[in-house]
Amino acid sequence: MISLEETCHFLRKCSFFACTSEDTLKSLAHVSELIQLQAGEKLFEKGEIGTSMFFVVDGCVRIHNDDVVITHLGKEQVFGEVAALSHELRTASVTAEMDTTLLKLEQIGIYNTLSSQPDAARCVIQALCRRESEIIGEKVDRLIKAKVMEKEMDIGQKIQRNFLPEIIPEIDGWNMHGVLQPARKVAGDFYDFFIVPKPHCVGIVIGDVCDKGVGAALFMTLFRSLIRSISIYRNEVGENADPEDVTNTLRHAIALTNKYIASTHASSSMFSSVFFGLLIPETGQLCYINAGHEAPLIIGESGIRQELKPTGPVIGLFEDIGHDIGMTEILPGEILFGYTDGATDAQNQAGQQFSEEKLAEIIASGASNGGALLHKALSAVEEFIGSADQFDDITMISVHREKH
Amino acid sequence: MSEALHIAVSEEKGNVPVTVLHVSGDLDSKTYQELETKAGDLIGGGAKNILLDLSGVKFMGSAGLRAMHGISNKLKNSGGGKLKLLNPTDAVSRVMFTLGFDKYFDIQSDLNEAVKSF
Repeated sequence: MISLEETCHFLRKCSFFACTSEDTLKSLAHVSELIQLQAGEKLFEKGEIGTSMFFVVDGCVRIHNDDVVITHLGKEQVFGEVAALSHELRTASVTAEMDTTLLKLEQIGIYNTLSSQPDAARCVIQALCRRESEIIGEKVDRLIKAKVMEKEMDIGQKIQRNFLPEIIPEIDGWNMHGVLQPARKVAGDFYDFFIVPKPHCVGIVIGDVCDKGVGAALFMTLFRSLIRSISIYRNEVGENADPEDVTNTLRHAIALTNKYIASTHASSSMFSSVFFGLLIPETGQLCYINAGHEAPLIIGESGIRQELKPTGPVIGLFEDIGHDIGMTEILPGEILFGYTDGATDAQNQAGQQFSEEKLAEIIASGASNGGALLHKALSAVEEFIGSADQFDDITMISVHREKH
Repeated sequence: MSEALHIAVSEEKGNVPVTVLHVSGDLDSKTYQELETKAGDLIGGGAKNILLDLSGVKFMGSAGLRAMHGISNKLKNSGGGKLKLLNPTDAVSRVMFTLGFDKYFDIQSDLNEAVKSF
């Protein structure tokens, strides 16, 4: 309990009643009510009809929308005045952060005071205007910060684009294409094509880092760069593409990338699915490791000839994992098609998924070349998504061995 | 609309004390940290043998694996311990298989047997 004098003293400290006479404050104090909240107790929910405003006498409350905390208010701060002075619904929810004492003033009490006390009314109007101007100021600040952040993200996006191959290796008898459509400014998907000088072969990569946004994008650059650099700068082997050297390069690149991220970045628990193939262009032989990635498909004249299924788990989490090596051959006229789950999991307005079956159906019908196949598959996914939001990155690659 | 994650904890006594986390609801990118934090608190309180009862998990995204890794990592950093899984639903098994981790975790199908196995 607090005395009438203490209540008046408390109300006086609030800018809303700074000009109110002592008698009026006393009558307000009479109609006010002390409320005790226990830690974690909710006072009211966003959207409820509210007819009272509150002053924090002691403790602290959280103003929030579900899990998003807007602010915390402590001793002598006011809230709930918008709903109390108008017929608007509560604009946010309020929950006690600790055991809290509040002073509650009902709309009727406030209006009675305002109608008989023009000075008090002016004071409340001034306080409301001040509050409004603070809110506008905060909004402008937030807008400026958001613009700065957007500019930073644009820079990040440009830098990340440089992590995708700007120039795709030109190999006689082969054409290679890749496309990456991020769901947000930056992506966790990646693809890569690069020449490995020793043993001479072509690296083909498609991967998907878990999660989305900036965190995934940072790890994407790490996975992509480790695989590329370990493969390219492995000097202890000869130039000729001896199959054993090729498989060792594959194993080496995936094992070291996994070990580095699992040991150095263990606390992030970030992982990536990766398909990494090394192609010997002269023979069409393809050695690969599929680390928990959607199986790339080899498409021939009569549809899907082979699925290059996972040969081991995703990488980046546990150091003590191993991968088998897959061996296959891309025959003249065939296309290797790889994708990430952003394509098959894409949803339309009705919440239906594009599905693996639908993608396989489109891919199986083939195309005149690898670029045309990518275009066909991507257009089908985009058409399916329609006006719905694209919620995951969509990436596709194709490697086409031309007919002689 | 995803379903909230619920975690109930029980202590079982086998050859060694085993802390069982009975997980239900959706284990996805929005909720996996709750599981990791809960297990982290228990590990901080001395738990060394953790059994994740996944029989009530209706949906698991790939983030579920991040929680399992996070728990393994916390056990490792607190001086060692074991994480085992109990009765994963089809939804969980499918993700574990797709990511290639079905063979890397000790997956048990009976609570008593699982507790004894630690």
